[in-house]
Amino acid sequence: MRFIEPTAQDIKEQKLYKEMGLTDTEYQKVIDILSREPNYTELGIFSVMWSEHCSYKHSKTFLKQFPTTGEHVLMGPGEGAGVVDIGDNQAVVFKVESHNHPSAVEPYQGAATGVGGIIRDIVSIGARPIGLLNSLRFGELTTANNRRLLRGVVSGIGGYGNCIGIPTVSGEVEFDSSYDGNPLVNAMCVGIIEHDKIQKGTAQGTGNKVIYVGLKTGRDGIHGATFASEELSEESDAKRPSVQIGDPFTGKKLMEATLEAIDMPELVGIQDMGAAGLTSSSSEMAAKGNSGMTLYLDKVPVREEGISPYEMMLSETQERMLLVVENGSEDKFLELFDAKELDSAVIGEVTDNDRLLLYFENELYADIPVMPLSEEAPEYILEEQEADKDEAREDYSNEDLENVFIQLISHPTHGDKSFIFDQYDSQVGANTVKESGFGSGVTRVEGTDKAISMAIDGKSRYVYADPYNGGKEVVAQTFRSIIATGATPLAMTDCLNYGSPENPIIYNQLSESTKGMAEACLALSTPVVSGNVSLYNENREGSILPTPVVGMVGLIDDVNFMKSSKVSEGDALYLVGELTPSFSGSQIEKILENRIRKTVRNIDLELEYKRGISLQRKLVNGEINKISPLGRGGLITKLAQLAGYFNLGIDVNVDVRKDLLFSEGASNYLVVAESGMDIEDAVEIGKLSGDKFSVKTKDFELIQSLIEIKAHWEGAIPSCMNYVD
Amino acid sequence: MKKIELIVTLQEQVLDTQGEALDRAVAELGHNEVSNIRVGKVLYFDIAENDNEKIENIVKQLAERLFTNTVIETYEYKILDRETF
Amino acid sequence: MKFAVIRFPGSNCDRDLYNAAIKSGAEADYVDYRETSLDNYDGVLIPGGFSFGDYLRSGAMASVAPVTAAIKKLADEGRPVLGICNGFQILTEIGLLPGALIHNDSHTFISRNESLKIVNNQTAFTDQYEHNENVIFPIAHGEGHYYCSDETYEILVKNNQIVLTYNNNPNGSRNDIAGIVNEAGNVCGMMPHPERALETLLGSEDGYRIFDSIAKWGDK
Repeated sequence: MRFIEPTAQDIKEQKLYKEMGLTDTEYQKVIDILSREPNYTELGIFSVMWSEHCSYKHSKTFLKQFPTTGEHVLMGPGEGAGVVDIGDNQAVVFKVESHNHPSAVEPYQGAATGVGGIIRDIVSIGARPIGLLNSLRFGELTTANNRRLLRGVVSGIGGYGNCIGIPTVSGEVEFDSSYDGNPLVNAMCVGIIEHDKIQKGTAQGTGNKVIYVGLKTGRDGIHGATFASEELSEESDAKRPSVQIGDPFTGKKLMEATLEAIDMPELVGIQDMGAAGLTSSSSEMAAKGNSGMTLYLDKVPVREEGISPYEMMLSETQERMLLVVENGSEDKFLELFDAKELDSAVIGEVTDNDRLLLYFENELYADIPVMPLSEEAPEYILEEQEADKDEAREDYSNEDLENVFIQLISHPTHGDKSFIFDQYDSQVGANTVKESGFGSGVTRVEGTDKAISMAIDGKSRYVYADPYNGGKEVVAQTFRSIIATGATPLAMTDCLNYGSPENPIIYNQLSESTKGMAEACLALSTPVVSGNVSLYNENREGSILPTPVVGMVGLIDDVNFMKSSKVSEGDALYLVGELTPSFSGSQIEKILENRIRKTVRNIDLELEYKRGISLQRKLVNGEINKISPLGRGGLITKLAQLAGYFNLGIDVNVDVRKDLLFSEGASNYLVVAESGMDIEDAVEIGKLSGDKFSVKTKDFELIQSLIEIKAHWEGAIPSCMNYVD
Repeated sequence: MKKIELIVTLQEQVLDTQGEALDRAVAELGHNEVSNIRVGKVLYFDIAENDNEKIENIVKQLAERLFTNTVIETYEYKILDRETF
Repeated sequence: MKFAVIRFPGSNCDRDLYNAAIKSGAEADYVDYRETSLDNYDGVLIPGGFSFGDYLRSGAMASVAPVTAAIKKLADEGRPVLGICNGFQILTEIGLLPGALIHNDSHTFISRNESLKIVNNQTAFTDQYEHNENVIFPIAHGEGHYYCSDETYEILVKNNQIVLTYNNNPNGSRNDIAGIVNEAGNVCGMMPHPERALETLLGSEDGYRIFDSIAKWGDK
């Protein structure tokens, strides 16, 4: 059977490569590599491998700045996920990935498959996942569409994570109109592995067999990878079939089967079939193994007849893995997969000829040199332009600050997130020491006293105000979240969510913010071990705020210290670090002026590190009971969140100008401890006590009942979601 | 070979919370004339059998053993004339 | 006591339940759902999760799995059977416990630490608790609304089969029911997860006594 599709001639004459997202120059490059015109299947393969999602063609130059090695790093970027040593022959494996565009089109499945995909990345390294995190961005919940997106995304994340049985232990969410129609869904997974089990996605050893396992291939998500790199337009609605369907039940069986397969010595390499499915897994494995690969596509398990090689190579059917196993051992693997009730088949073999050869019923459909396909992907350096600076506003003391405060704590970004977190199973596995709800999550490493602290954060308003320093702040903020659990920060992963890089100002945001991030990684000793880039997050209304998201993990040597760190009535509150006017990108600026002033933000990374590590030690030693980094909305918002979460009154008096209660400078913490402690750079400002929320400065006094504050905080999201949309 | 359409719904006395939520949503869309929404599911399957009595036996047996929970659900079915879609 | 922890495809609390059994001093094995005999076991633990993806209905496909007949046989012989969350759903689908579990009223999944009351400490599962003792167990379910007919409810009350109730009903369950036993008292199902409540470090240790009780079943 020969499939009816455009010929090489048609492609050239009708410029069909443009529909697949390749430029004239890129098409010419394909011709140069092949020394002839590509056929339809080959063109499809090049187009997905050279999409931003797979090739990082617009961002590679920035990613190169990141420090990727360090004392604890066992495996940096380039594989499915990064691996970091945690002692005792154990390591932690983690990565964050975006699923923004699919979630915009179909929120439930988009989010669910995002979670499934990142889990498979971790499992393909050989690790057992112990925690999931997510970072979400939506437009304001005042519109029905944003409520629909929130509902769909949250139930999709829960739908997948709850079913596969991995606890969702932390996350964060922000609502801002710049995300109208462009929601961000970044999912992170953390796993644990023993050093000697670490797998690589490599194909080596001529004659070794290629095994396909998982869901049967259908025509799902064809061109999903290129789709993920396009701006959303009206036509995106018509592209609905592009969205893949997640199957966590099969995902669970596949995860367990994969973890068993990894114990078999005959396994040579393994990679999940994520974006660009069979194409990226096969070609990347061959490239990493310095080998060639021949696939017999008629052997691929399919859901329906008549799926062409082109469709097979580009399908993004979920819950699939590709394995390379020693020749002769293939039956052992097929038996394992049979016992787990998974479809599997030997679909090809490793060769020594450096070519990816695709056959269907003995007919050759593609003949591509492996190395150039992944190594010679185009790389672009585009024009950049720094945005004009604005004048800073340094004083808000003439505003109605009580009103601003109430607006802040009843806003979904700052209010209680139970509406979201309660939909995620955070305790399955019975090792969750500290679940989401108030910062980072902590999961014990089963059978030990060690625990992994994990956090994810993004501060896009700061990045917009000052891309360079804002980039530093995103890393520093996540660092603070890890510190707050008593963990030593180890390493990080990043997801770079931006608008179109073809806009010089956005390109400048990308370039400056990653430079800042790289410097912070060095200063805070948190190298980047994995990551992902999502560009073109914009529509006709405009671009999203530049939203680099950082996921970080830290190590707690003995988690039992947490048994004694309790927050209780009568505890004293300390402010660590001075409050100085820092309002560009702040929440008070958003509420009162609905804008972001582009001015310099300041952060001292040396101080950040020193202060953080010193506080972390105090917490572990039991000198202090709780660390809470200040964030959006400043000190007063943090006080309200603390009061609401612990159901304790607040009685503080801060010796500052009143608007500084809302200032959002770097390196500030709130600490809970006994009264009269000597903590570096800290002042005791009051205590957790009574049934009032009382905050005073020299020129300001806010006294409300705890019940009232709690009602605002708890009702922030539910009061928006009361609508039946 | 016959194609079967099996419709499963909650029994009348079991509160259908999904249906209730939809009732409210439909009312908010201005359709006050619509009410009593009940949400169920439809199963389609083929049976390699042509005798209607045999088919009914198979369908009833499967419906009560697996396809429905008779504590809360009820079902009805049709034998479709079409063999396949 | 030697327990069979039944593993269906999609079970995901199997390890937690196994660990709980071991911690309480019992023996335990994982048993595949394709097994047809449980003759070597003194009791059965059916874990939470999403057996067969919870496709069609929670617990529906598990109820026709090969191991089901063996579970019924063991229950008929008076040996203990404990089903937690999805395990409870499966026990109602099998018919070992009355009623059914339907969607939470909110139609969303709910996961949190829940305050519950041990309303019956006369069962062999709960005899280490005080009557009406308040406990904290995590819940994590999408279909946890306990439904039964008026007739069934009267029987449950008459036979003192209601074991555990919610203090703040999270899902719409009839009369706040969170867990029940069969008439004979050897089959227990509950939506909350006592196996996740074994140590204070994780939030609660209130669940331990359930496992300690059934580990001592043989002495009763």
